[in-house]
Amino acid sequence: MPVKTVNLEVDLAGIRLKNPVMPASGTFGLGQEYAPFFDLRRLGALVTKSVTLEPREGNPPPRTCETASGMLNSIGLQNPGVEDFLEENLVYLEEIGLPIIGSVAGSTPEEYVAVSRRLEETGSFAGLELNLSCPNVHAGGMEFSTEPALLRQVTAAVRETVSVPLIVKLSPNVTDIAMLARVAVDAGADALSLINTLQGMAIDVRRRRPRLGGVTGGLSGPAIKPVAVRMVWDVRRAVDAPIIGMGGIQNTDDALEFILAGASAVAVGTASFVHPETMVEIVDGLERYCREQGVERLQDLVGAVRVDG
Amino acid sequence: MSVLNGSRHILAPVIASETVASGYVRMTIEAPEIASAATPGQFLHIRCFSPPYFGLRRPFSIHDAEGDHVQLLVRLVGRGSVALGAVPVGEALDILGPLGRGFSLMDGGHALLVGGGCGVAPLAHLGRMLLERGVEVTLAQGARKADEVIPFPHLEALGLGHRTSTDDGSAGFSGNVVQLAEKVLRDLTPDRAYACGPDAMLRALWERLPGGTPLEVSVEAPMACGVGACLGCVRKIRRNGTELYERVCTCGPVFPAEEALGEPVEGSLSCSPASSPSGRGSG
Repeated sequence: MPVKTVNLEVDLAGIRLKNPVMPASGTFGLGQEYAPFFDLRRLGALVTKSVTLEPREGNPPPRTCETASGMLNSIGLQNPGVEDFLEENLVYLEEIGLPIIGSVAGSTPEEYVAVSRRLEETGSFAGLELNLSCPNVHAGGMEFSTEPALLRQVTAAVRETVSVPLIVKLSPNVTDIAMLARVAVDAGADALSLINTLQGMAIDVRRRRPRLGGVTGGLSGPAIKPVAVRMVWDVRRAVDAPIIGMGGIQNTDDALEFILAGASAVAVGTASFVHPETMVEIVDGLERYCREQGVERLQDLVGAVRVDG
Repeated sequence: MSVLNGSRHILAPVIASETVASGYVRMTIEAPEIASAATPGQFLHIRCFSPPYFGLRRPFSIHDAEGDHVQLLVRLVGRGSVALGAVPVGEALDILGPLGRGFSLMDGGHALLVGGGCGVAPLAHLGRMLLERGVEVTLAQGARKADEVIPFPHLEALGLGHRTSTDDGSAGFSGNVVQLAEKVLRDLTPDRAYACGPDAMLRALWERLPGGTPLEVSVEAPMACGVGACLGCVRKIRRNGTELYERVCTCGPVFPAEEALGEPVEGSLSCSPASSPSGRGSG
């Protein structure tokens, strides 16, 4: 039986959002690029592109290539470094009127700590998301979030330094994501976001060269949705911390899959490239679904997939 | 400053579609909001596949924009362009645009426009705008063979000096478009030059222009978002003695030659000393 009003609000470990829809880090710049196409303030939050301590040039082009039902990217974390990032963007971020989640990247635990501290100091970030799909310089280039000891070390070090809500973004390039989710939460993560991109590669057979300048890259888009939904499902059953689910979401039904699997919020990345209004259409679609289905609070649907037996 | 001022997301109907050369379709779209905002050298980011099929948008240079209409010159080379070229009259295209930084215009004097293959696409818009501003315009167009030469009778009627080259000599000058340009340059000293085509062609042209001739080039890059958000389309640009990765979709696709084409070469406009190849990118 339909209801008249629907509550889309979500409290992500202390970050209060008016709705659960936000951009995936790195796919949305700071929002200005998409401002001509929709009202940014309709989003639940803004998530910034990852910043590192020092400027990073990024990988040589080509940095993107289309794949079946998706795309590969090897951007390489191009960013101006945290100081220039703040100098260029803080005023804009303060004026935008949305909760801002700052994405943090680095090559060493110390770098994650330094950037996190600097972002928190500004008072402008409602939370921080640790992008741990970065190669660890001191551990032979292994992604932080694929190795339990490294994941624990970075998370705990940042946890000790900041008091804003801390989100750890998990890589799917692992054997047991539930185990890593437990490590992150035990080390102090307030919430988890998953999934980051899947490692992939494409080769141009005419030129006999990789299609990406960085040789390998991250796969995103509709192709990865089933992988992501399964991982949200596994993580939900392993930890109590709220989950931001992402990976190939293109529309309201996709977002609902993640919510029913256990995500309290969702992020949209690749789909915005094709259809800029995707996120606001999902906000409207979630409201409509709840209204028509008689669901008063969207959060009542988190993890509500029925599995018999 | 936003180069996105005037950019929109619209659905615009195809009102004409014709094969103008072998493997090329010229499409006319009714899009007054884009036509009035577009400047030569800008592009449209076009959706070539509909749900449930996933595909990134493809960028296409604006071929012309006048009144209520925008034109595209689509070379049928991959699954995106082939799908786009097959859209029938009456159906709508899903378009983001106009996007990017276009060419600098000039008033009076003489301009040389050089286009290789589908690189000629944005030069038609540029050529018409320059002719309307009283510029004498010469277009050197290179094609592989006669049936791939794009005709421009309407521009010729406006006074365009149109020279063509074919690799196999089946029409016009026998050779590539840079060789044709070299020939043209024996009788003509342009005040500015503009070019669009593969990097090798742009570099070869730059080397042959009289020293000090300003050259603007439109470059290609694979694009994902097309609006400057993803940092996927960057090109190494040389500016103020350093090298940095710039987004082709917002800072380009048009660049001064000395920024986009690497090491300064003989005969080119360059006022900075040769700098070291590795520079620090500034994001």
